[in-house]
Amino acid sequence: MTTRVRLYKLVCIENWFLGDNKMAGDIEKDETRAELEDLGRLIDRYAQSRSLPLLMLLPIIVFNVVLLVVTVELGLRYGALIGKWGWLAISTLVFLWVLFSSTWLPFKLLKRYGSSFYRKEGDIELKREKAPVWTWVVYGVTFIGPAFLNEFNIMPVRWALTMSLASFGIFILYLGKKHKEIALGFVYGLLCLVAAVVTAVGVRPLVMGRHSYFLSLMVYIIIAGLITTVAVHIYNRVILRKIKQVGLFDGQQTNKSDT
Amino acid sequence: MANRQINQIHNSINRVVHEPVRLAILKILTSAKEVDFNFLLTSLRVTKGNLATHINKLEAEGLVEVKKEFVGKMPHTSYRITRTGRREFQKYWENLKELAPE
Repeated sequence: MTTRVRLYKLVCIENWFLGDNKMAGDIEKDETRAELEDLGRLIDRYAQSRSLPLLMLLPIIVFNVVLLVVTVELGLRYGALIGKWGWLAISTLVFLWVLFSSTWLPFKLLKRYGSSFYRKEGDIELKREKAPVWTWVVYGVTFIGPAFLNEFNIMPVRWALTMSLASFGIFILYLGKKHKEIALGFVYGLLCLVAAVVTAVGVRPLVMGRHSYFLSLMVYIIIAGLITTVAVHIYNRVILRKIKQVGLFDGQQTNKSDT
Repeated sequence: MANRQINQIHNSINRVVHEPVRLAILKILTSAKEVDFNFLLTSLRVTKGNLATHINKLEAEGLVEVKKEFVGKMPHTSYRITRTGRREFQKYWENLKELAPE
């Protein structure tokens, strides 16, 4: 029995209550409700698996990686020419830009242009919760902390990389749940945690050399991000197809406003 | 259930919510914070005119809130369920449950 028929029967409930009791068995109220609940669940899953906006972050990450490596290299080569205060000013500006472009800017970009990837299918915004500030602080410390520990030779590349990747993975999992991006957060977070475990068991970092910690970290994050985008986008298409299959009214001209 | 009681419940069924397309629209709106016109078209697969008619009805009854804005040069219309709409939707299911018990 199609959903359309069930919904039609729902409309006929008046006939049933007016005394035509043979309709009672036919009205599958619970099933109708279950199908509407199913539709709600599918829509929830669909809205939580829109991964293409993640691609907007790629140019920012790549730009920041190049910027940081160039800044450090220039500092090492021409530090004496620039002078102590000049170097401090440049480092501070770069640091502020990296901080701004990895926190406030992505959120603004995603909010403003995120839906443009799905203009044809339309936009849906879910009720999202904000992650408390203390979780951002803990994440910031555990993510950036190992970079300093590694820079001052307190922590080897292997463990610094493990710690940063684990921190990133756990935070993404948490953020995915809070911001109602469960599919995205789950795949991305899990991939980063896998990368952390792989590094912890002793697999060589992807990039060796002076910037092995930083570049390996960024390469892992970018690769995990790309895999996530593709995998979640495929999942999103599957869900969309299911929503269309539900096809409650399937392009028909249903009865117009009746009152 | 006594006939009078059934009558009472029947009279309290909201006819605006009772229509299947509007019921589905309200269901979608209860799961989201805000939904635009295209999304409702994609998920319900009704015609544009039909959807607009139903939404106008829901808006007139104060069950949904309409937000019209321009994104670039394109008009963009989005909808959200009002507190009344949420309450009526909930009440509708409760009434149905009483009319057709397990």
